[in-house]
Amino acid sequence: MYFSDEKERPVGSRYEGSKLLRKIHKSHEQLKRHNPDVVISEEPTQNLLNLRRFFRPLDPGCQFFVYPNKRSYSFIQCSDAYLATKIRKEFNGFVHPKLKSSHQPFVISFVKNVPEKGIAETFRPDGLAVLDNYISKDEEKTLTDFIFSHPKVKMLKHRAVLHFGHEFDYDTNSAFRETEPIPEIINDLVKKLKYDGYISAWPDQITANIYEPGHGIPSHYDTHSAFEDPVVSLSMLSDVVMEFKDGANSARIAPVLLPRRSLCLIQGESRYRWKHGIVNRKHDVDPRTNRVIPRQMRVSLTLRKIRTVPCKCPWKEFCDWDREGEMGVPKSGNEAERLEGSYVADVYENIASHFDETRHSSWKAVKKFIDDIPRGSVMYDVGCGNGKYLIAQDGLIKIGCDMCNGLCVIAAKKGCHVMRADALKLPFREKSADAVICIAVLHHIATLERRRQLVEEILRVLKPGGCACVTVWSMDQSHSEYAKMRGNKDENEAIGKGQNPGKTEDLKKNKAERLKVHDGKDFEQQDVLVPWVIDQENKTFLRYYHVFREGEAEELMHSVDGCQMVSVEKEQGNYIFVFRKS
Amino acid sequence: MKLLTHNFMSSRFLKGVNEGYPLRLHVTKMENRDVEFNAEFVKNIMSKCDYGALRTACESINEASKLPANLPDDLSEHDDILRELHRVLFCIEVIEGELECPDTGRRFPIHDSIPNLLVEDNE
Repeated sequence: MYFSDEKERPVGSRYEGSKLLRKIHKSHEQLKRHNPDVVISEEPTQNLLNLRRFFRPLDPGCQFFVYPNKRSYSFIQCSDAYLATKIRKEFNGFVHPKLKSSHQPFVISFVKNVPEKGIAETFRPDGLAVLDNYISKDEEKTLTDFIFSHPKVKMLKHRAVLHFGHEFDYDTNSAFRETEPIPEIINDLVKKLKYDGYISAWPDQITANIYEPGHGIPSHYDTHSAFEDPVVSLSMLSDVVMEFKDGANSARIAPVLLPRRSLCLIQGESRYRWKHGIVNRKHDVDPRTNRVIPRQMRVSLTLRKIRTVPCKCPWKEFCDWDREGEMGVPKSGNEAERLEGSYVADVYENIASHFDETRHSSWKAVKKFIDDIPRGSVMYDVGCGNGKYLIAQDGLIKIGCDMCNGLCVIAAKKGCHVMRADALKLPFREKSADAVICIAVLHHIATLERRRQLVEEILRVLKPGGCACVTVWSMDQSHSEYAKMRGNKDENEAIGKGQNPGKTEDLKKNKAERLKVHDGKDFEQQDVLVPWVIDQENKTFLRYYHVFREGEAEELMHSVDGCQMVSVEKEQGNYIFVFRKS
Repeated sequence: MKLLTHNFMSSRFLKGVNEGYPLRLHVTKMENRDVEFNAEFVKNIMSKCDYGALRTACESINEASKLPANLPDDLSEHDDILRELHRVLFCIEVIEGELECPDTGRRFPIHDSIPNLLVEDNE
C-alpha cells in the first residue's frame, strides 16, 4: 500500500527487519486473495511485485501491470532476474525521496508469474468490432507517409486533422462542404473494406487525425443526422485505448484497446447510443491484461458516409433529430399524453418491482406535512407508487391511487387502500379530502396546461381549507445526494475546438425543443429523459421528466384559481411545495 | 378493495357527470379478512363517511342485514354497531367485480382487489 494519510514518514527512510517482514506478509495476503494464480517466489525471478515509474531508470525495458483505483499493488516484469534483484535491493522498504511523506515504503517481492487476465470486466457495447492487423506494416507506412506529407494538414487544439471528400465541420459536427478529393491510396483501402463486406456505401467524408502522445479526443457521438452507419476507423502507428460511454449512463464505460493497424467498426448500438473518445494521457492500461502501454504518435483514418435522408435508427432517444416531433418536447395535450404513456406509464409497469426495492425513505418535509394533519383526517396519495406513505397506521384515513398496475398490486399486498387512476382524472368525491399528497408525479406531466390541470384536480377533491403537499425534481441538483453519487463523471466536451456541438442557430433551436437523454450530469434543459438502470438485468428504461426551475412551482400555484400558496422548500434536489384550497 | 375506499370514490371525473356518487357495486368474488378492531377509529371514520352510501353498497352484496337504517347519535354507546361497521368497512375485501357510474352506466373493473378507473381521453 502506497498511501496512508495517517502517518508522516521521513522521506528517504528505510524499513528493515520485522517491520518490513510484517508489511511484506500483509501484501502477500492481499495478493493471494485477489490473484490466487500468481505464485510468490523466494528465489529471484524476473517478475517483481510492486512498482513506481522510477523503476524505469534501473531497467528501461521493464513492463508494468497496474490496477488504478482497484488494487494497492502492481507488477513489474523486468528484463531479467539480475535487474529485478538489483531493483528490489535498492527499493524494498524504502520511502523514495521523490514520494510524498504520506506514502508507504515500497514493499517488493518476487513472483513467478504475472496475472494473465485483466481485472476489468471486458464488456463491449453491441455492434462494436475491432479487427486486428487489418492492414500490413507496408500499407501502414504508405498511408501515414502520405498523410504526414500532405500540405493541407490542419492543427486543432490537441491534434492535427486532414479531410477528404467533405470537410468535417467542428461547429455543427456534420459535413456539407466539399474538399480534397479522396486520393487513390485511400480508395484502395475503401475497395478492400467494401470487398470484405464491412461497408456497403462508398464513404464521402474521410478524416485523418494525427495525435501526439498524450493527446486524445473528447467523448462524443458521431451525429446521427449527419452520418450513416457504420463509422469505420483505422488505427496506425500506435496502440490506444478508446473509451465507450453509455449515452444513458456516463458511469458505464467500456475501455477498448485499438491496436496499431487494427480496424474499428462502430455500428448499431455502439454507433448510435454510445459515445466514444480517447482520454488525454501518455500511457494506457490494456483492459485485457492491465499491462501499461505507452502511447506513440498515432494516426487514425475515419471513414464515414454522409446521410442524405433522415436518421431512422432505433435509438431515437439519442438522435439529434426530433423524429418529426416524436422526440420533441410536447406542445399539445395529445402529444403529452402519448409521451407520458410511453415514457412514464409503460416504464413504471416495467420497473415496478425494482422501483419498490429502492423506494423506502421519506422526504422530511413530506413526513412533517403528514405528521401535522389532525388524526382522523382523510388523506389521498395521488401517484402513491409502492405505498410508502400509506403503510403507517397513524390514525389517518389514507387512500392512494396510481396509474401503474404493478405498483398498485405491490401497495395492495402491503395492505394499502389503492386504485388505478389517472392523476388528471381523480376518482374521488369532490371536497372529500382534508389533505392530499402528490409525490414525484407532477414532473412526469409534459405540458404546462396539464400540470395546471393536476393542481386543479387536487383542489377539486380537497375540502375548502384543505392542504396539498406536492414534490417535483428541481433542475438544480447541485446539493443532492444524486449529484454526489454521480459526481465523479468527467465533462462532456465537443470534439472540435472545445465548443459544444450544435452551435448554429438551427441546431440550437432544435436542441431546446427536443427531449434529451440525461446522462447523469447537470440538467441542461427542463424536458429530459432520465434513465432508470436495472443493473442485474443490464436494462435501461427512459422516464420523461419536466424538471422545475426556481420559481416555477410558485408561478404554477399562482396561475390556478383557488390555489393559495403556503410554502416552497428545497430538499435534496426537490421542490416540496404546499398549497391550500381557499 | 375495501368498502371504506368505495365510500370515497366517485365517477365525477367523467365528462358530463355531475355527481357520480355512490358508484354501484357488483361483486363476483369477495373474502373476509381479520383486521384488528379499534372502536375509536371506526367512530371517527363514520364522521367522514357517507353512511347512506355505505349501507347501499352493503345491500348490493347482501351484507347490510345487521346495519341499522340510520346511525344512532350516541354511536360510541353501541359496540355491536361499531363492530359491524368495522366488519363491513375493513374486513370485507372485494376481490373481483365491477364499479358502475350511477349517471352513465360506465363500468370499471375490479381485479385482484384493485379497481381500475382509467378511462380513454375522450370519456
